[in-house]
Amino acid sequence: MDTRLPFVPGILVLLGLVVMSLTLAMGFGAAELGFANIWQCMTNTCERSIYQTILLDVRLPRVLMGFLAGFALAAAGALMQNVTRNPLADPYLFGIVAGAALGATLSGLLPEQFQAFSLPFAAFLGALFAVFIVITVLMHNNWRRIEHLLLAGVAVSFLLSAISSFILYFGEAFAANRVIFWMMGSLARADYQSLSYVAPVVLISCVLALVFSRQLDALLLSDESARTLGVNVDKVRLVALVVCAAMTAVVVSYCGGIAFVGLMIPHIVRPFFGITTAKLLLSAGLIGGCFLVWVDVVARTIVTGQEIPIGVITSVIGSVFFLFLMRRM
Amino acid sequence: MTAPHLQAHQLVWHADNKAIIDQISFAQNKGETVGIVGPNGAGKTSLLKCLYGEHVAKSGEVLISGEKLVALSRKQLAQKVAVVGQHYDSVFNLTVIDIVKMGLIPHKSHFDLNTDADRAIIESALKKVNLLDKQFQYFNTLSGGEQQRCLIARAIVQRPEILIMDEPTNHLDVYYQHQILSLSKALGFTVLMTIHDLNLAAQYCDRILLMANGKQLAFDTPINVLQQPLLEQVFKLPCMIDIHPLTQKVRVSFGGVS
Repeated sequence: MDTRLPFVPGILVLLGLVVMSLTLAMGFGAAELGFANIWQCMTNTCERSIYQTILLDVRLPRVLMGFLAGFALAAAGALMQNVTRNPLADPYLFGIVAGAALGATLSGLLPEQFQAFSLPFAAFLGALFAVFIVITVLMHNNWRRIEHLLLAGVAVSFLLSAISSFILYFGEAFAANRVIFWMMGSLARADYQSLSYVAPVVLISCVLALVFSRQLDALLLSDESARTLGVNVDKVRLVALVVCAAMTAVVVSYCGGIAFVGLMIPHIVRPFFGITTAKLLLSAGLIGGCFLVWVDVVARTIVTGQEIPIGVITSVIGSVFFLFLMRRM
Repeated sequence: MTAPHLQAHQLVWHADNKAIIDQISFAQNKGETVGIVGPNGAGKTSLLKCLYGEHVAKSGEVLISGEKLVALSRKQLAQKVAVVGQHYDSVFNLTVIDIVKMGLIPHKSHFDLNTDADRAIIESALKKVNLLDKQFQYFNTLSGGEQQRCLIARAIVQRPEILIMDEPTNHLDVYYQHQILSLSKALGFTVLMTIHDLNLAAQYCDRILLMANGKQLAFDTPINVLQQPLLEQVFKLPCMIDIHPLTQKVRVSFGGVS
């Protein structure tokens, strides 16, 4: 059965959905702001200056970060699944989260005089370290085998997680809590400064992936088939992996471990937008962005006066979705 | 005199220090259809892989329109040689048009968009293989013959000089076997293929390369290659040669294992 939508109208509908989600999501939170207030603030001046502070300084960066993080994770997941021809692949497979967690752990628990970096920066370095190990191992080994890539990622994940757990176990309890909360994922850290780091990385990564989209499509049939079409398979796959790693690492550093978005969203999108890289990447990104914006709304409103870690919610939704998917496959 | 379109010169390829391809030399003219025949494990597919650059020959050389294969970039090679492989099984649902579009890749740089001319090429290729009405169907749901035609359409879009096909008639019923082979001849490419059915080879190939154990036993017209003593020695079965009453081509019949 062909369920595919025409691409351009489909994307336009998604863009409409994005604008609507971003606007409406700003209305939710501890202080109830009606849509009328938001509209007034956007078009004119705010009724009360506190509204302006809440909307522009707190909620706008937060929904934007939610959208960007969701976009990046879903796009990276789509790319990762295509490039490994494995529908269960996930940007986290690289050990990116485990690496980021190790970075966060070290930055959070080391004595103060060694704390040269902020937590996000340390997490980013940790994520890059994990990717570096995976790619180095593969370069020495037979880098052409996709299964090796996935297995190396899993092994590095476990190793780095073990080191983090060891450090946390002996670490000071309060600092350990801080790291553990970070791992559960949250958009509370979002501000314009963090957006200014995340947005360019996501943008450049997506543009790079789109520039290579034809070559990436060629990989979908088989490596050999792609080579007969003149594609340098190893180079294209390395570009895609680096792009995935960069997007995921920067998001994880600021937002912590938000699981299952990258795995789940491409599966939802594929029947409607197909599997070719450019279409899948854009549509999965837009839907992933909306998804995370609304998950964050749930995270900050479901329990009055308290925030649920966003990663907990995506994990619940994602794992249930995953089990349904397994039944269908 | 123009150079042969595809030429192998004393080609040798090893796997695990064992010669899989051993001193193969042949030259194929423009527009000619050549079939590679031989028992399982003769090295037919490996030979093809050496010719389209997937395997790197240990010694000897491959010339494409007189140019050395090793001197061509991947992209240049893809503009000259298209490959229809044996079996693809993508876990994702690629549609027919997704696959046929891939044929554009060797002709595009990173920033080129698909033009109306590209779309016309794709449409005409789909028409040639009679898949226009199935362009949005999933590749995995097509019959074996349709999958082969889809891959041939991709090759047409690739606009090569040489079409290499690995067992194009495998798993196809009699009608589709003839359909695929007539189609590949009608396209006007120089065609090189491996093929198991000697009678199909006799009917559709201008020349036949007979291989066993990586070695070249004969390279000539079907009537000169398909000779009783040679075939009995290679296939280890009693064999009879006559003329096919319908096609007037050489016909090979094998007796059973005694």
